[in-house]
Amino acid sequence: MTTKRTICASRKDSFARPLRVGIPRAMGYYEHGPFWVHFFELLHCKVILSPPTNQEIMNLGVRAATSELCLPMKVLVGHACALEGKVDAIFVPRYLSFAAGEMCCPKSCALPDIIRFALGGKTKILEADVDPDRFSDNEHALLFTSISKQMNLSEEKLRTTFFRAQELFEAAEENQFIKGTKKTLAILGHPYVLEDPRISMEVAQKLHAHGFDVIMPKDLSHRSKRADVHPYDGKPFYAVGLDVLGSAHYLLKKENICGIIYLTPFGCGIDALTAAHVEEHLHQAERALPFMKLTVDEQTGEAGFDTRLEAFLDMIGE
Amino acid sequence: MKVTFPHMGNIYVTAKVIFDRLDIDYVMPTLRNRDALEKASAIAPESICLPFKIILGNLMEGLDNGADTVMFGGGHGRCRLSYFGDLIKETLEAQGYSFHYLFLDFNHFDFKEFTETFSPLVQGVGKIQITRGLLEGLHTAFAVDHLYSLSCRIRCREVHRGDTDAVMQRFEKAILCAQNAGLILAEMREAKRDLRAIPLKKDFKPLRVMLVGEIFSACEPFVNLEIERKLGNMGVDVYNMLGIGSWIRNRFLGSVFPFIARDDPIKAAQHFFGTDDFGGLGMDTVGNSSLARKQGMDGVIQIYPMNCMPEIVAETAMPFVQKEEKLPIMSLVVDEMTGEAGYVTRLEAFTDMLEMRRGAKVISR
Repeated sequence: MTTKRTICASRKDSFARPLRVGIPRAMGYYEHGPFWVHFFELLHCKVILSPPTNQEIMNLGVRAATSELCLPMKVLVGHACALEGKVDAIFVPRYLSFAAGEMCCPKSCALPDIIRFALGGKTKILEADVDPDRFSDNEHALLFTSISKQMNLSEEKLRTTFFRAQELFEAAEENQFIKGTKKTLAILGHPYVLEDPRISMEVAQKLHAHGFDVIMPKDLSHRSKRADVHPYDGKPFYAVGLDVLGSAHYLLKKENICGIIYLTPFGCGIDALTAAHVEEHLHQAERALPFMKLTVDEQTGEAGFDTRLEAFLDMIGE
Repeated sequence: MKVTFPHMGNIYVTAKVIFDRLDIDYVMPTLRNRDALEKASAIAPESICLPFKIILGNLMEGLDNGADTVMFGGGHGRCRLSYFGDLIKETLEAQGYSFHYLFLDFNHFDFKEFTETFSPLVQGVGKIQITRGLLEGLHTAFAVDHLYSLSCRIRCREVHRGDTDAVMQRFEKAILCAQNAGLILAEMREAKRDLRAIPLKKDFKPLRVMLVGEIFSACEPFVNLEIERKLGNMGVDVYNMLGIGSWIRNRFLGSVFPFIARDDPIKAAQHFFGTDDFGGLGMDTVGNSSLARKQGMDGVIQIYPMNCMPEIVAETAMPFVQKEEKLPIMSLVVDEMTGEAGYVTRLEAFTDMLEMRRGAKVISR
């Protein structure tokens, strides 16, 4: 790498148009995607999102990614492949932790690297390191080294842009739990599983069609999700795992919840732990609550999935 | 108090020495117990990794045989091992076991906490005896690791196939029967002497293969189906980068005295990854593999249990390490269903390929 040219410099040489930054609609997108879109818009970039997950993207991902990776990661690689050629650079944040004591899983810590390996280094990868667990000051907890090098912008400017974008996106801490008369089913799982139309097989819509209300971890406030997260209370644990554990404990106490469905992608290491804890707590709980763990992978057929869902709903209805 | 502990490679030798020196009553689970693993798999979460199932099986067997205290360790990392402690406690309690739980935190070693946890075990034992016992344990951990790596050097070069295996088998049997720490230390010295006495082939240059990956599967013969012995008997010199000794030096003592830890694998791996840690020993796996050619290795074998999170990430980098270093790397994924025949076939194919590569090189020169 003797001729280190930034993307911006090479772009100036050819033709003047805003830098096209691709953001894959997978993994972290479902939590912080709109925020990063806004961040790059403030930097005068053109943001291109990949389409919602479909079979083609899934196939691309399965082909390009290492076979042992979990399904959401393969989907992410598929999205990156779908963006290739349409963008100047792909942005993938490297979440090392979300807050003090809330780490991210090993695969999440190496997201930009995994994408780079899968694409074979053809497309530039922009990355931002987020690690508030290890560093308490913003200087170290937010690293924009890669973006600042490749876009010729100072890290300081990127950081101020980040906080400007954050101000506009300050999520309102509000408990949205609806006390409806309808029967409510809780679906547990990671946001990138539950909100992805292909991975989740649109389970929420299917439940709505059967006349059930649905509540997911994203509908609960952060405070209620962290109110009771034993056995990892105060210990470092995976952020997504804490979300699921906290939601399970919170929802167990709610009267109008009539069943829990745990949707987990095959090969998820965190779910192997949290699903075991959730199941154990359900056994010990005073109220017997129907529970079903559904594992999905790239070969899951929709018909079989629907049959299991219907059988579960029939059981609740009785 | 009667203690039980899980197996991991040759850690039981160290444990026996320490427990004997400190007068602790203990129940040692059977080595390589397939039944215990099956029992544990039935109650363990289905997609947890193999080490958890083996550890759970060991502890259940220990508790069934009269132990009332469980000794286990974990840390605060990204690897799931850090959370085994809570899950094991919950799983065992759900099965109706009641026991004292002694938990050792590896990452943030706190002397005060350490003494508080373990003082009930050593009541009435003098401080000098405790220090002596622990130091002797430390010595044993390094010595037994050294013995096993010596056996790898000897096994591939021996004139009569099976000499080394005979010595090591006799050694393992003697350790299991040994009644006190002095005997164990004596057995280790004797095994070392016996190994050195084995006649070796002269001018034989065996293939050198580095073993990297997940530590439990790399150093537990029950999980890796005796990979060191299998490769050794094919005439391959195996350099296992993962042993209890190197782990103690790099991770455990390294967290207290950072200057003893060897961090060049981490630095080498940063060429491929934009971070310095993604959990477990993943960075070491990538780093060691990329340094392997410089250390004169002919190939690298990465071994990890199915679903191991850090090693999967490390595996994604392997094609690039392979391309950059021009060094063949094979990834082996093991679980409780791994069939021995298919496994041996893969090892043989890999060894043959390395042999041919070496031959091709000689001709082209």
